[in-house]
Amino acid sequence: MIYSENILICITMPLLIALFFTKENTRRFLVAFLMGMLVCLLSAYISGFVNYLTGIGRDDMAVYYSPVIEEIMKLLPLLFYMFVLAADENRMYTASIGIGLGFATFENCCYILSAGSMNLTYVLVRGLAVGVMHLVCSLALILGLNLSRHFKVLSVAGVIGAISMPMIFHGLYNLLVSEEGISSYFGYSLPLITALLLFIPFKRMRESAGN
Amino acid sequence: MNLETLYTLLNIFQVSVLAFVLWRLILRMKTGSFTMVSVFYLYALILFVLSDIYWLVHGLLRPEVRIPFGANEIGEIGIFLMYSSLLNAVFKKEEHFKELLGATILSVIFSAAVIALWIGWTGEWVKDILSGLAFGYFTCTVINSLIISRAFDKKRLSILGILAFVLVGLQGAIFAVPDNIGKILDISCYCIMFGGMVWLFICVFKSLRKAYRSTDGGMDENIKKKALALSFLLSLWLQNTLYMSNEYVYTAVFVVISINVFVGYFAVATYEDDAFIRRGGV
Repeated sequence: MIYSENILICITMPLLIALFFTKENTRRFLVAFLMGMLVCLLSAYISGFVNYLTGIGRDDMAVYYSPVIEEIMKLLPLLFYMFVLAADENRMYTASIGIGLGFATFENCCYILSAGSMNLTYVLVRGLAVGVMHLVCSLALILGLNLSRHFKVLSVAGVIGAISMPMIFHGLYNLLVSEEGISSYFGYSLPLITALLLFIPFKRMRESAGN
Repeated sequence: MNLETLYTLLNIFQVSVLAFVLWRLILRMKTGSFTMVSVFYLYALILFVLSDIYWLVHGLLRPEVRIPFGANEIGEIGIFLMYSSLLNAVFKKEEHFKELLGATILSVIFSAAVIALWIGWTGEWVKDILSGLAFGYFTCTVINSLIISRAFDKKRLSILGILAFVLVGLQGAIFAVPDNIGKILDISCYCIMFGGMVWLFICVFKSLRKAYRSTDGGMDENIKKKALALSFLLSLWLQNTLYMSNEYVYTAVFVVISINVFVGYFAVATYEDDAFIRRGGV
């Protein structure tokens, strides 16, 4: 048994102090990274609560409901940043990556502390599959949100449409890796392949945002 | 061949069709047709293909488990909402508010009836209400697009409305009547659904042909809009037909929906550039 809150405190303290010595984009990224870790902890609480309420079991919870809960939790700070602080596309992009990476980092820390890190393959899989999966989900989310905003159709429908992409991707990943064998190999390679495919539209989007 | 194997094969077929259309769409976008319409359609198709793959993988890995409300349902909801966002961006409603009010109310009533039917069939309240809300929103958007683009005149709109309400009325009546009468009503429903499908396919085909023939240095914007509105009406009708069908009829409609992806692609492809949308749409 590990205490996730203690791990969070331990990791966030130096980052919080670092906020005083950074500015502009670096500070924004750090805040988003911290937010990602906090959101990860809150998602774990909510998933645990939903598991208790529905009695669905840990495995089914991870396959069916966790992707929905985690992606909604990652969306909330982005919506706040977009609507309350009126962030532009570039800042949203930075925030989204920060939240995704913070989430992945904290989740990996907790898993590795609870399961051990003796096996290099396991560590690589956690890093390259689960870690990159959260990054890809964040990228897909921000792509949808920025598109809706760019074309002035950002409404409740637009936001839900945008969030559905990372949810289904996350759900598919969890489903693929839920069973051992060939499906899990597909699952583990899926995030990395998608990250490579997403590189081109993102480069284009960032260029257009820069113009 | 049992039904489960058939579903799996058809899923693979649909994924292949979607992959091909996605590839074509991306190629078009790479050659400069990076339009708002194509971007939203691409996003919706990616959701479509991911949702299909999810079903496929779930069927292969966990065939004995019925999927609870989760990621894949949200994927389907996302498809409806992305289609709606696309239509909302093309067809601006502000100037047509009074004109659309009656149609919107009727669309809401129709959607509520459809949701009630789904709940009656499956008993899954949360799943059906959430999916139904997205479906209802898509219905309202499609009907509004038809009115704004004048793709259908009042007579055709009335026929469409009557067909839709008679359909849900008959489906609802099946719950209350004995089995032998229920079967007759069921067959009548299929006649309406397939008759409507053929009628809409003809309308879409005519409108697309008109759109592609009117290329005199750029298509008439209104013709493009009509083709787009009609192709989404066909998608809506097919989706509703799928939800109201059973077993082998379901598989047949599934194939038609797969083919209809091409129709959507051709309607979207009429938008070579979104200059008129940048000017403020309709």
